[in-house]
Amino acid sequence: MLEVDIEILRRDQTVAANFQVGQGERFALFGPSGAGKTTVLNALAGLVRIHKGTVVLGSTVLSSTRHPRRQVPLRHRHLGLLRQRAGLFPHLSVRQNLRYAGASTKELEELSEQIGIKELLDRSPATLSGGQAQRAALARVLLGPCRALLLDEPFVGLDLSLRTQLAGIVGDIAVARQLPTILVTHELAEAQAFADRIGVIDRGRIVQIDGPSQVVLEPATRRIAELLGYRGFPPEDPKLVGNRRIGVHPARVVTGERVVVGPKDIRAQVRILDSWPSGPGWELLCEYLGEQFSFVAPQRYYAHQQLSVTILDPPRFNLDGNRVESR
Amino acid sequence: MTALAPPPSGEMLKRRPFAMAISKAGAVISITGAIIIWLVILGPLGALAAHVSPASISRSLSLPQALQPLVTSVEASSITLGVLVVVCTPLAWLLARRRLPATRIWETGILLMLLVPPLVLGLLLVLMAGPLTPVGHGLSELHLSASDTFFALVVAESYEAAPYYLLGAQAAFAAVDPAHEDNAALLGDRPTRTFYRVTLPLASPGLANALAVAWARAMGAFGAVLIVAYHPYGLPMQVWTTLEERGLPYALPFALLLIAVALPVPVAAYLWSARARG
Repeated sequence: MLEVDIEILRRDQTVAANFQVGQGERFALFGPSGAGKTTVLNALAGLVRIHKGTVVLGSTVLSSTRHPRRQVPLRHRHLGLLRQRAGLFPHLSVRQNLRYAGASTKELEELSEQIGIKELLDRSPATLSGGQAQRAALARVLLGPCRALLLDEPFVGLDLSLRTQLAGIVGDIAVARQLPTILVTHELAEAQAFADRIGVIDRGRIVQIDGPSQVVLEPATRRIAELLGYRGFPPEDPKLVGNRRIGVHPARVVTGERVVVGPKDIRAQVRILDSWPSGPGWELLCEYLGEQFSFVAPQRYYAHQQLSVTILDPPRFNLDGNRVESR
Repeated sequence: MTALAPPPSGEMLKRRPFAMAISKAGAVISITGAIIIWLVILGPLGALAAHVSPASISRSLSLPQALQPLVTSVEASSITLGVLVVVCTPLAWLLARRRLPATRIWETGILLMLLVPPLVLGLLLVLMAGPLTPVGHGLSELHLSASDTFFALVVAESYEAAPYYLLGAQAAFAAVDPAHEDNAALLGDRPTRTFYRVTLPLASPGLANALAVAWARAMGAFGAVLIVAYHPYGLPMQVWTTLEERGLPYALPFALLLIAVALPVPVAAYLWSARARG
């Protein structure tokens, strides 16, 4: 179990984090750029000093500002850190990189077979593609003294299928080896695909921790909803303007009369303001009760058209921006 | 509408010869420029080669004790390089990683050493470590003297060459991504082991360049040496005194010798580091 309760002083803000990650659990830290995700990860790795708090891995206190103060040096922390840049040592071959921490030939062969880099072992890191380099870096970390995995957006810049494949490999290994694993990302879909739980971090604070679906369906505040991609907050009740607001997510609006409306869904008559092609469909900018939002529809509609849409089980927020249970 | 549009093919035909002429002229200018620059750079070397005959070389170098200054220079420069490697390499790493307090002040100090004319540096060394100064007394307790001794020659060469090595080595270390050092540490390496396994191999092309420049500076050190270590004669001093006492024809062979000994190391280091960098 990795237990984190820390505060880090950064030039622009204080970053605080409090969460636990169990053995074999995959935890994602999701938030916008500058929110403090990487700072938290660097503090766990020991690259950044914490101002207050503790980091405990299993029964080992890695960092503590309480008595007795403790800051375990990097080489004794036994953490595997994987960053956006693979960071293979460029003067060593892939095999030498993998053996850096003294892994046996048998371990090396087995793991490179599992990760699919067996044929790359005698290559120089400079000749690898981004995905190959990340795989090799993952193998190097796993062959080292690794009791927990820290992933700092390691799949950014790779194409989608490679990302999915790599995230799958890492996730499977984390579970098989029972490693507490933390993935830092600013992409919600990636966090959802990877993690058992997601922590949303904003302006240096973890504002919500929940399962991958709850975090999107039940954002705790309007601000979190905005971070998760909700694009409009019209009043809930057309007759009581300004009472409560609902959150509209572009992917949770459906068009057409035939949709069966659930008890928590909202049927709305919207006015189209603009439309443009988006993927296989059309993104429509519309207005509803004085609020604008956009969503993707399978077909094109034109400005000034009225359209009947269903907003699927939207979260409700009171005027303070906190979520309230739907009626 | 179509009539108003310019005929693209005709326009292309008109423009192409002009563009080709421009690019040809550009090529001619750049090649000529390169040749002129090379002539300017290598001019003095060419002149030296033209004025030195095998007979004059053997005449100069067969004088009694003629090769002793070469031996002195090579020995002093080798020791200087050893001192620089031991003392300045860790300092350069600390500066590159900003591990020292007041890094800017350190850097300014090094820059000052580089900017002070060598002759003035020699005068300052006399002021600091001359026989009548506290440092001079301290040295005499150790049976050393920073004035007209081999030790003084090494000190003078070190002062002249150190800033070149320090700045070069600092740049070489700064070019190594600190993330590599973090990764090595997270893989279980202690700092010294990380330094030898990761930092040093990655910085070595830059370090070799810095060392080569320092070698050339040490071999050719003259200004500070003139003041604090007139004796024992090093090669540059031999060139100077021969020029004064016997004239240019006798001095030129020593100059050629100095170049022949001082230059191959930097050139080889440059070629090696260029290859290592790919």
